[in-house]
Amino acid sequence: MIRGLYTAASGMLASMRRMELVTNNLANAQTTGFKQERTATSTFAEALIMQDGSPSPMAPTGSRGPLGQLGMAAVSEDPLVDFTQGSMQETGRAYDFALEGPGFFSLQTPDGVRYSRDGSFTRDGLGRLATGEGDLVLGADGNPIQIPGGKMQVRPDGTVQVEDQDVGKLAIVEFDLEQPLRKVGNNQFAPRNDGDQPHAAQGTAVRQSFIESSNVDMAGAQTTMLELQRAYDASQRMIQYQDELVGRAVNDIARPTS
Amino acid sequence: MWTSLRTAASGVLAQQRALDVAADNLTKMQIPGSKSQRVSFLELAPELRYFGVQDDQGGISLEAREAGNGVRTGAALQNLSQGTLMPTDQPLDVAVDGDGLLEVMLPSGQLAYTHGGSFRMDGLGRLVTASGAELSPGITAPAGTAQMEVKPDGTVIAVSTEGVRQEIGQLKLVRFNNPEAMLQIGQNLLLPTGGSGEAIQGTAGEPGIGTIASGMLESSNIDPREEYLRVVQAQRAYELNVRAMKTVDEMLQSATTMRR
Repeated sequence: MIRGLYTAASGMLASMRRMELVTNNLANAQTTGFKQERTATSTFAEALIMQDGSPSPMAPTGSRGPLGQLGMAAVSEDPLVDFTQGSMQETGRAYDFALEGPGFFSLQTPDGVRYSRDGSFTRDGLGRLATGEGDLVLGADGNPIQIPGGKMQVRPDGTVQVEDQDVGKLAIVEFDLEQPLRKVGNNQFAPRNDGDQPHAAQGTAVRQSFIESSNVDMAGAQTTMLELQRAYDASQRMIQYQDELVGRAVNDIARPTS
Repeated sequence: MWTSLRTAASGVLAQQRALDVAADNLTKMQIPGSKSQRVSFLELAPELRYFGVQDDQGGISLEAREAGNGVRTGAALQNLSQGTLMPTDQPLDVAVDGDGLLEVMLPSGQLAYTHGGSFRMDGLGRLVTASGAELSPGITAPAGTAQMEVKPDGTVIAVSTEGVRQEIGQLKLVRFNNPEAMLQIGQNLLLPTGGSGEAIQGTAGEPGIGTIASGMLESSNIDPREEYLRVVQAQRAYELNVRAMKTVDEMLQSATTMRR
């Protein structure tokens, strides 16, 4: 009977966790180059629950013995970053770059090389191409790109020109599917496994004076939010029912009739 | 749960800031030489939080996963693209076609920079900005000057009451490595900052410096339609984040009223 209480509580927990992702997606609805995260609530019916702490008489000492099957209301799955291309937004600003295709810009940050889809760049005090936060944009040769004064243009292949002279080429890289990325803040990504090295991107074009909008699906997020709230309420009610049932069992069933 | 509330609140604050900047752009639209700005949104670094995930044995275990923390706004990004040069027929209206800036000295003695504007001759015959800041190096008209003119190469000519023309100085242009980082102090004046680098001397006509246009003012590059679009986008995103806060609040309420 109490087990049902846990089932309902796990449902509330799963809704809560998913809500954290939805609110983060919504907060970043206007963040340049943002990639939304999704989690599915897995719908598998039963999960084996294990005994914690004291060893079970059924199992060797120290191991966790099985307690039985627990019908899980919901389990939030591993959040996945959705790398779908965001829409292109024209800004008319010369130092805005957007990537069309799966590539990333390479940035030199105090924590090492990081990768980003946010190409709203500027220059630093020494005239090097940089982000607004001061991280340097790396060129294909691994060095920052120096921009002398004059009219700056970027070609689709990432070649940077000032007054029609080549001054560098942006390092546009991509990762293989088996090289997962993690978010590190400031719209940047890092490989989840430290050793993973990207390779030069194929088929990614740079578009000047454009930015890539956040790929958050606002309508979808609202629907998910409603769904989560209902699921949460339903689980909450289940807990109340369970509580009432336990209350009955304790107070009524055992009450001696007089 | 509190985290979700905070995350949604960060979205509300960031959109508020975007609305402020768009409103600021709209008010500056009529000021010659004013440039459009926009807020940069930066995702906050995720935090490790515990999620119940399915483990290899078909059970559920708690595992640390990164979960987002919301958004913050970073440095405002300026669009420094050239505005259209509008003829004004005022010989002391000066615009720069290019990145070059004119150096002026504030009454405090500090050097400031401007991308042009309406200059005038003050009571002492000095060439000053509309707000009274003197050009640096200063240009002073000799006694008996009726008016001054500026030529495209920056040469300043004094025309005497008898119509005699005399070259009395030259406007010089400087540029900065990162003009976007300059501090706007109003009246079209900019101050250098650590992020902008030092003033680099140049001559009018050089690439990266540009040319001087007299009798012209640079119109603002702020496009009202663009700003309106931004206001609408920010407003919608603001509303969505408020709704998220409300939903989280209702969920919290649901949790706290569990025991009636």
